[in-house]
Amino acid sequence: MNRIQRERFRDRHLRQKYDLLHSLPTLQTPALAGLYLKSFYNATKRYDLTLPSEITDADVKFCGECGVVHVPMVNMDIVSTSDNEQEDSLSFKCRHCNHKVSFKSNKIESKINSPPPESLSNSPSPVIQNKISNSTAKSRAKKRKQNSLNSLLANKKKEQKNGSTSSLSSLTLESFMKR
Amino acid sequence: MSSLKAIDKRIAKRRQVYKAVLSNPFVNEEQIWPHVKNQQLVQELLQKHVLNKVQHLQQMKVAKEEWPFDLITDFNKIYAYLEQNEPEQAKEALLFVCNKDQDVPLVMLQQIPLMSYISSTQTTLVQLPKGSLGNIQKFIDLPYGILLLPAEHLDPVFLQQIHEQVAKQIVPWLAPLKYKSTDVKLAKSSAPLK
Repeated sequence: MNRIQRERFRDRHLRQKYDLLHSLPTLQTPALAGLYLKSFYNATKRYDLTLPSEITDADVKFCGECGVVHVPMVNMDIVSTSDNEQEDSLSFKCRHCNHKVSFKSNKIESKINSPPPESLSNSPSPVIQNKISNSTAKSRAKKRKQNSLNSLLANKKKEQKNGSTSSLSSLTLESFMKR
Repeated sequence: MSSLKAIDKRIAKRRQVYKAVLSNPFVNEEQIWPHVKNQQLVQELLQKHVLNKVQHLQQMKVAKEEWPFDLITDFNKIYAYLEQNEPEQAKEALLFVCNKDQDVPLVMLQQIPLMSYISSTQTTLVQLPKGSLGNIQKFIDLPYGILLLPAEHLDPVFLQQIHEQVAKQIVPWLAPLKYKSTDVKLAKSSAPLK
């Protein structure tokens, strides 16, 4: 297998395992989840891939106990609980294996008590400007080209040349010493 | 030893690219948050139709129970609202989520698109741009960064405009699990002749 074939095989291999994991809730066979999840993780390990933490973190996307993919309201319940000691948490409960986990998630503090906006009539809708740098592929390619080794060397040469001509034009002893 | 020119050529031939290994249309994780066409417009609509009214009501000191529209911000209540299963009334709701803001818990955010998709309530998931949490918090508390507006008492024009801006959620792997009301009302059968 050459490089491209190898990569294509890897992608297909991983994708199939990942898809299988996701089709388990539909197939009503959650018992297979643990096996499939392990096989998926092993495959990513073999290909030296680091998965994002949203996938690999225990109990977030997949149940830490039985490995089934979490689908709220179908095979998982979510409850947010708040104690008086400002310890808020979000707890997941797997309906398949009754595994419970809770994540610490502090509530977002209220800002209502801070001074309210001045007037209703001209309540400014703060325009959030999303700055999208308008760099086209062409300009990026140009930049890349400028930064390449060849052009850098050429630039340096040019500078040297310019410097030398200017100094040569003076023809003083100092300018020769400098060189 | 190879010349600099040769090295440069060799480097230029192969450059590092990043490919999404796990992206595929079945899992559709890339587009699990539906695309919003014009975020600024959505924000202005929210401001005009909801937040300004809220501010007005608060200034008039109207109790929250007497507000002309419902507004749910607590996570458990939102979850309960989405979970309820009443096929008789096809319910509709708008779910605004500040998913780009830092304070919102990530663990919860990951489940929200699935919740809104799987719910038997017809939910339109609207992601808000970065910084909108602070903006909304000037008017109303959002302890979890999510805001659910049941559509019953909302302005239909507002509703329609939001619908136009937000793409439909497509999650093929969840489609078979999604609640579907049957179209069948009567079954064909036979009865004895008298």
